[in-house]
Amino acid sequence: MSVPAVPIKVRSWQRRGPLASTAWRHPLAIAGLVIAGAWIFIAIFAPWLAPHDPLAQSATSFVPPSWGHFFGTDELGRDVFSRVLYGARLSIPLALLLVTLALLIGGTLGAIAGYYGGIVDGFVMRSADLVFAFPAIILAMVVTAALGPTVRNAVLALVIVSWPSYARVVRGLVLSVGQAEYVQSARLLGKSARRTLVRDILPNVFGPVLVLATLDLGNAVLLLSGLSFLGLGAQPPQPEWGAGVAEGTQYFQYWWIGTFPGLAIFTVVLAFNFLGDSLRDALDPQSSWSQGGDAE
Amino acid sequence: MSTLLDVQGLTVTLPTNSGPMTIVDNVGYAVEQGQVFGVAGESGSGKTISVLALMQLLPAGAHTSGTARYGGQDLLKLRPRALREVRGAELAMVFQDPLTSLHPMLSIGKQLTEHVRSHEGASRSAASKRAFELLEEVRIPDPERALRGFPHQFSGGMRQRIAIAIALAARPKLLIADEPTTALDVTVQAGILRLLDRLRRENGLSVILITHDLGVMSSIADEVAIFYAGRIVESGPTRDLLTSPRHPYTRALLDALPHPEAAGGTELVAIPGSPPTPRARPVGCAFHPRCPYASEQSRAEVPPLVAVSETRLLACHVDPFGPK
Amino acid sequence: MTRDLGEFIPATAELAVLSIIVAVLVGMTLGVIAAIKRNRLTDHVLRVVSLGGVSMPTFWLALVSLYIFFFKLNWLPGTGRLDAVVSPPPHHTGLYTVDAVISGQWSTAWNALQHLVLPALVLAAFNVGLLTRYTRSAVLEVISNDYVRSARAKGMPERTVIVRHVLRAALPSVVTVIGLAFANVMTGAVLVENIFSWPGIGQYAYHSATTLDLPAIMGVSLFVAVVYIVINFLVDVLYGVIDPRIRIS
Repeated sequence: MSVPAVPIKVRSWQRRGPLASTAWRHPLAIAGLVIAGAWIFIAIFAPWLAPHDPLAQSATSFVPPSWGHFFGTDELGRDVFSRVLYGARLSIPLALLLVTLALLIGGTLGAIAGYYGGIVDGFVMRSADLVFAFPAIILAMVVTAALGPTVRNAVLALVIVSWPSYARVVRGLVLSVGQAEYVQSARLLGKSARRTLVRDILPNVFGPVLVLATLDLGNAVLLLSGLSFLGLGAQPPQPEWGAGVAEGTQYFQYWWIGTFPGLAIFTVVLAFNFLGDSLRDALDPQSSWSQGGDAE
Repeated sequence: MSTLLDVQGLTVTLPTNSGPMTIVDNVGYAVEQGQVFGVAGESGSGKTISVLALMQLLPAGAHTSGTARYGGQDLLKLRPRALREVRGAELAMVFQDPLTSLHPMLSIGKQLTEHVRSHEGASRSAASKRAFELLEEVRIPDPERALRGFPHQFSGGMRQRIAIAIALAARPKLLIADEPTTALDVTVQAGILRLLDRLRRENGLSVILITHDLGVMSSIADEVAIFYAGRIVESGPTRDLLTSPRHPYTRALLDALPHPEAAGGTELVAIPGSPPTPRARPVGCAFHPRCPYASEQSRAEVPPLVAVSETRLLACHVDPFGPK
Repeated sequence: MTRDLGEFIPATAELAVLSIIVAVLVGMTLGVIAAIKRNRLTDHVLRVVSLGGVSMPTFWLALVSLYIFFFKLNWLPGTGRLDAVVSPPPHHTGLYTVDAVISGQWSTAWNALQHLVLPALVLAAFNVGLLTRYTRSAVLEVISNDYVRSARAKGMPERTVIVRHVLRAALPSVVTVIGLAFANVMTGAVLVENIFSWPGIGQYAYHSATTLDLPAIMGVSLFVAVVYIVINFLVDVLYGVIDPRIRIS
């Protein structure tokens, strides 16, 4: 039986290798990676990139954007551009810290809850429910107000608010993966609980949690800057972005004071969301914005 | 009797990762007024796609060529506005699974009347009245209550009757029924077939009936076309074709049917091999790899569908069962 | 404290309701469009727009929009629920727009509405992004279902097919998100009310949290919890209305 050969048209960019073709199909992921990368670079090298000291006066107050001061100066004559660059050194590492802590604490609690079930499960989930019952920002406000408004306390407050999401996701995944036969057989064979958890379950949990964490990075930046905006996080004279926007509200007519820090927040969060969204597509082809398949 | 639908050279390709795939290959047939035209073939033979093409209901990216003349127009070339007028009011379709082809959240009444109101501009009460009559005609008990009901509240057989009622509501001349009884119990099947037959006789309805079940075919179809690998291999009046099949595939299908009166222990005859997937269709006659009568010509050339008698068409180079 | 709550709740309610209505109408429309034009340019643009919506810091958007539309263009009024010279309408519901209309004070109603626009839109931005995304997925899930093909096979116009057949089937998934949207509105309200000097629950929560006024904090939390419960209940009821398979006979 002979089968007629069907010629396959090879697109030119496909010949450059799998990476090029993947990149072309996911412009958002690339944009996200580039922007996030740029900001991380800025966060690391701000002291060398910033033209002026963010905490010191470098000109008269309220200078509009100009060559000497790209983003103008604020009410104390400080260079807004430098403050924005230095702001990255606060927001980005703090957001990373926040998400990492929430992931570790929430993930571990969730894994334990899912794996052992019973009382442990009940306890963890009830605590999570309790946190979920409060709107995030109110809880965060209360904690920071109670402990004193500092950046450290803001992070702590947000970790308290965020861990339940991770716990829930990890618990769900552990439960569903735990049902899988190969895991049950490992258990029967008497492998230690921790080994099974680490070796068999965690690799499967990794993907979805990574997506959640990447998207959460954006959220973390928003919440942190939001708290600072309300005066409950970073305190003056720290060049935090949210606090910068708060300054801007006070000196309304000098639009550059609040606009640029806010723009920074927007671009960072956008980058993380682009990345997270593309990751979500890569890991779950069924999800909303993945590439459409062939006709049915 | 006049010809209602004349299909010629219908070819349908669907887009895939490795290029367009030919599903239906140069198919032609004619349906007369008041006739039940059966289309038989296994899954994957292209029967469903060929009728979806008639109503332009194919998935995006599909390419159709050929003609399908109906009422002086070519169905395949209709523009959206004309197409909307044809769908439902001239041609209508009943699908295989009434559970998925009826909208779960709209009432039966709504599904029965919306297109009637859309096509005929009927008022709500007029359309309701017609809906009531339709349910009566398809023998749904307590039509008044049924109108307010939802698909999930009915049994499979009832749902299919409702689907038929919906299809007929805007008074089409041609009903396409794609495996209407396959998803139903055998006991319910007979009822649906009787219904279709009665509708045909009482209303002069023409029906294209698609099924893989030759038994169903023999009970109500007037003419039958046998599909294999996207092509028609044989067609003709049902009784004639089923009692003296001339294409080796048709004969093999009939031989494969378990005989109700065969002696116990008689082996079931199966056709060796399996139908080719659309991607892997053989050169020449699509059936030749499984055909005990295949010749050199069968392996090289696609046999054309030609008339071998006044009423019979056949696509076979060898014609092993024909008159000598 | 209940008196305080009673004054602040309607202010936020007015904002929240308008914001949700806008977010649902705009978000769902964009989501349907994105689904219909799947993988074409429109779809990709809408994806960026929706991601942009959920990435925008609410307080920054508030600031920028106030600057542009109030300060520079003067199309819309600034902070507060009414202009300083306008006095509030007689109290019936506490919703200034509704109360003014009831009392026939048309200019007051108009003024209140103008003050509502900017904060409501700013509050809606996040939810528009959210709803666009979720409506798109919901529509895509149902659009290839057989019953959609049946509707077309009957000769129904495409617009009717989309609205009556597709959207209806996608609605249950979308309604779930609307519940989420309410939660976002409450969170966003804290920030938006701050910038717009809007005397609502958000401001009240902020003050009670920063002054560690425990009874007030409890009061606000209780209120929020009640709202969540009510919203969830309404969502469940809505499911039953939309999908007859779920109704308890």
